[in-house]
Amino acid sequence: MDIFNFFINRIETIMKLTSQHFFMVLTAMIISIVIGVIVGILITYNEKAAEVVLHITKILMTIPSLALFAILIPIFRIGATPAIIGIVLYTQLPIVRNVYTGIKNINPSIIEAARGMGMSRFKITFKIKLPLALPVLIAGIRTAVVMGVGMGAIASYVGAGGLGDYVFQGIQRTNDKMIIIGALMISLMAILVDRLLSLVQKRAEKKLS
Amino acid sequence: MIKFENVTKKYPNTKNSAVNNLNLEINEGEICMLVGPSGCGKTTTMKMVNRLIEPTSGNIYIDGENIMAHNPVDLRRNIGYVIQNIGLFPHMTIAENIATVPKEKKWDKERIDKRVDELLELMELNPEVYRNRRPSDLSGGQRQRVGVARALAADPPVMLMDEPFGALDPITRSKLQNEFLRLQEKIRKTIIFVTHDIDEAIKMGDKIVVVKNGKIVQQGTPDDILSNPADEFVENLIGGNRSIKRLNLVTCSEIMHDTFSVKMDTPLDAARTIMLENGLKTIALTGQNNKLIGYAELKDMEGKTGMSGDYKKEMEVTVDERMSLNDALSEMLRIGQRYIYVADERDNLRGWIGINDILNAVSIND
Repeated sequence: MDIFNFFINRIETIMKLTSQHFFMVLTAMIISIVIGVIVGILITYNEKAAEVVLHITKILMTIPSLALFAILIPIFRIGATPAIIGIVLYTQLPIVRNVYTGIKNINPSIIEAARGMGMSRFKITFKIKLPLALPVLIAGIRTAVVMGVGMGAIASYVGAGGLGDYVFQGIQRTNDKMIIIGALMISLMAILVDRLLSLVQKRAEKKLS
Repeated sequence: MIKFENVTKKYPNTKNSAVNNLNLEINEGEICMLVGPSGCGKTTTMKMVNRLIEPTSGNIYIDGENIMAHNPVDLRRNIGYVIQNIGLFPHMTIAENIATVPKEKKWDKERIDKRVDELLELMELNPEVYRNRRPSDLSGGQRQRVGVARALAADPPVMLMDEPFGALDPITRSKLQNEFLRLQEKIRKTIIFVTHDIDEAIKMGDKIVVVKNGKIVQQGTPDDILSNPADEFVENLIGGNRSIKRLNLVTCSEIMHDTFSVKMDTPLDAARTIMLENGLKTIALTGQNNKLIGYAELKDMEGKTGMSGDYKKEMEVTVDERMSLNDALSEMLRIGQRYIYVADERDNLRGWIGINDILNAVSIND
């Protein structure tokens, strides 16, 4: 009950940190999806480029997130900017890879029919390839978002705020309640967004079956 | 209509050309069958017409115009394209699929809707039922009908068909082939049709072009190819049973005899007289507009009076006059009868064919 009262008393701070966390991750995800989709589409036209790009995104993800943020501080100082850039870099792999495989796995006769009927490359990409790759793309976004929410917590170290602040302060002050509430809110955010996207994914899949 | 002039296609890093100095002319309204084994260059030849593959050298003309003078996208919108795996767009409805090229050509919505319904009806798919369905709701045969409808949508003068019926089961394939031939009588498109199935080539083609290693081995009418195969390769391609294959060449209307028929209300006496005078054992019964209703047998009429229709027996099987002798013969064999009545698409009686007529039609004097 103690922890519940603690939560009620500090709800304003908790909500402020939660929304800070949420919008930081949201901004990063929007940028990440835009870049990832464009890169993912472009590399379907060139096998060599695809290999190189996918390799780079893989390396980006193997860098420990704390180290990645640390590298960014000298360039972007502290605050939300290095945090968002770090999350964007870190979440490129699932998005780029899924756009790429989603498009590559489209039945080639569908693309051939579209070309043979005189659809332009632009139209084929937006009317045929992307809609057909959508379920796979959304699956990639789900993975990326869950990763992004988790990274958002660590971003507290570069002064980006968010729920990470609560957890790390709790650790410094050995305040279990702060740690637990911070961790629970982060987990809840990840789970909710993931569930929501899974519904969107199911709808997209249903449209294609 | 379509002319290939010294056309060669050589892929990088290969020793031999896929298509080697090919010359070919296809007349307007003609179905030209490109036939040969896999990898012979027939599909490459076809795909050069809509520039899905660009020739290494040589020229291709449609209606006297060099295709290289056109932007590929515009060129393709005026050439119907049907492929074996159909390639319907799974995320779009049947109507949206068919409307692809008209939409690219920026037709207004009303015109597109009208055209889609028209084509669905042409393909014997009820627009009310199928318009808003998705490709996954359709059977293989229905999907390929939609594929053909989609290719015809903007009424292109030229169509390219890449083994369009290859993935269907034999019964559906034969049905769609017949439907397509009937359709072609109305629409008279210039068609390049790729197949590896010589029987399909014989059945569908006005002209057959046999391709091997990127070169034309022989071209001619199906009859030419069957009667005078140019070399051993063509002979092997045709295989044995040339006489049986000739059955596919002749339609029922070409060899059917006029038949005697009486109306349902013709007095029995009159019918019997006609039959006795002409030595008939059975006679066809027709209704209004010569519509075939059934038949009557002489043995039932002996010593009776009344109307011919009183002794009507149901006609079990007839053949369409445009079907091949192959179809007629298999129907005869199936019902164990030495003759069969021939009707047109509206079931009007046109004549009959006996088993001897079929023998005479295909026995080659070689």
